[in-house]
Amino acid sequence: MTAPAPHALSPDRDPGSFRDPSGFVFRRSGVVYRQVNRSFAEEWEAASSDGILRRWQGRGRLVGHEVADLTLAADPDHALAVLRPDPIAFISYPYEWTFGQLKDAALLTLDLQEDAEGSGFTLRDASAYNVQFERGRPILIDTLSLERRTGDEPWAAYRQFCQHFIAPLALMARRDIRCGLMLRDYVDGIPLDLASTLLPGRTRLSTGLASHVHLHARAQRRYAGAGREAPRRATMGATRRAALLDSLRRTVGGLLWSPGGTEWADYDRETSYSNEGTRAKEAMVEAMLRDAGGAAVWDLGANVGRFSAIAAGLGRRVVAWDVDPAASERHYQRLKSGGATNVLPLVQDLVNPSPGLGWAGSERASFADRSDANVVMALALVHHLAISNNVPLDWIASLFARLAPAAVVEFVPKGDPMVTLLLGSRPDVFPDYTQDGFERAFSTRFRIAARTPIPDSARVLYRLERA
Amino acid sequence: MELLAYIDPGAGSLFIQAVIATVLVAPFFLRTQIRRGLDRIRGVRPAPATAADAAAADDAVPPARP
Repeated sequence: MTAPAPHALSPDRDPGSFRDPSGFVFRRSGVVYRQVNRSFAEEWEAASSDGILRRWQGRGRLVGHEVADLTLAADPDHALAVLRPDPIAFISYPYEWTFGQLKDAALLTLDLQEDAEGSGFTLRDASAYNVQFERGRPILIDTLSLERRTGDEPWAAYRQFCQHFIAPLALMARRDIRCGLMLRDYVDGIPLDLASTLLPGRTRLSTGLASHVHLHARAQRRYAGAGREAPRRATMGATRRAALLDSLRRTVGGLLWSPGGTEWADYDRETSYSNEGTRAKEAMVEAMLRDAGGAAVWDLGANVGRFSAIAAGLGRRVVAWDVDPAASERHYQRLKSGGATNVLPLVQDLVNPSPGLGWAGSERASFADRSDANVVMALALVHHLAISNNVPLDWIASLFARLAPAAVVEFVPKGDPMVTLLLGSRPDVFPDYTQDGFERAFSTRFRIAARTPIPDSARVLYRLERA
Repeated sequence: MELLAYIDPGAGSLFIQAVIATVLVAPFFLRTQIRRGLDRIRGVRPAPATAADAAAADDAVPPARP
């Protein structure tokens, strides 16, 4: 084993940026930079002088950047240039995206590859992790993804595109929406042989899935056999490359999933509040968020985003988490069709949140480690954690205090119809689940800054400040 | 036991995409031409809408099989 390159020892280097020899991301004093290595000089200069990068940036499809001083390089011996990319508000991962988000990221990747083809370039990779959501839209964040196309070569990133996008989208649409979580286990996308095994047999009748998943998996198996000769170098002219992209686009476009039929899909419509109670709660939440201040709100259990919209209306940047992929998808689609651009809906199970993943468990940061929230909002959530999942109240307080210095939390007491419903199917082994018990537990981590009963219900809304 | 760790899993991918593209190129080309014809009838500006269209226009004859 060879010694690590000197730059690998740089303490500023982003733990998720080590695979690409052409450059890497690092931080200095909290500012994100991207170093372009000399080994990538020709490609970088070709892309820069062509104007394709600026064109994509102008269309909001590639993260913007400024050229920074070369003396800022984290590895000066290999540095050609240092870029300062525009900050991305929040880094999310494909296993946290809704179906629609993953699909939009796939279509962005295809758009860019198609455009790159037209300019004599190609995307070197098609990783879903190269896409982030900024102001409600997918955006490519890997400025070094482009290289000049040499001759009539096939698309080198085809396999990655199929593993990162086609396979998970197909599994989510045609098998079960929860298959999206498989991306947690497979950091380089879902293996095609596994996807082929899991997909229903009827997907073999779909030209796109039959080609890009089933046949593709078979070809991989065929040429992965020990001792078998690798196929001779394949070539593809422009028309065939265009036909391939067209087929990938049709395949992605044909994968549809309609949110519904999950536990929470209609929760927003089945709230136990009266209209008056709902309006009063909205006004109270708005007042508490205003008092709590800060720039970023994490809405835990956001459902379809009714209260995220209130935070967004106050100018807060909102990450709206929900365990239910249907609710989050509805939220995303609602935002896409004219909603706020400062809200990012994501799927997350608070009882089993995204861990640190990849190399050394730090390539992809955990849910809690990414918190930049000033305020955590947890409305009609605590009873689900405490009663449905048996999480002690003081543990819930502990998590909230870890995530943000302030919280707006709704307590739903046992007399409430929704809690009665929860307790209808399980023994009541929650003697501490009372308003006093809630306040005792949360007082270990927070100071109660405000406490207001919600009209037309026995519920109470709290504004908490970390002690 | 197959020594899969020593095999490049991309080899089959490169090959199969060339095969898939070869199969798809005829219907793709036909579709593109029909669309262009309809656009012409409707009086739509003939400029290629996408890079794929541009490629199809520039490379009208399907290339030989790999």
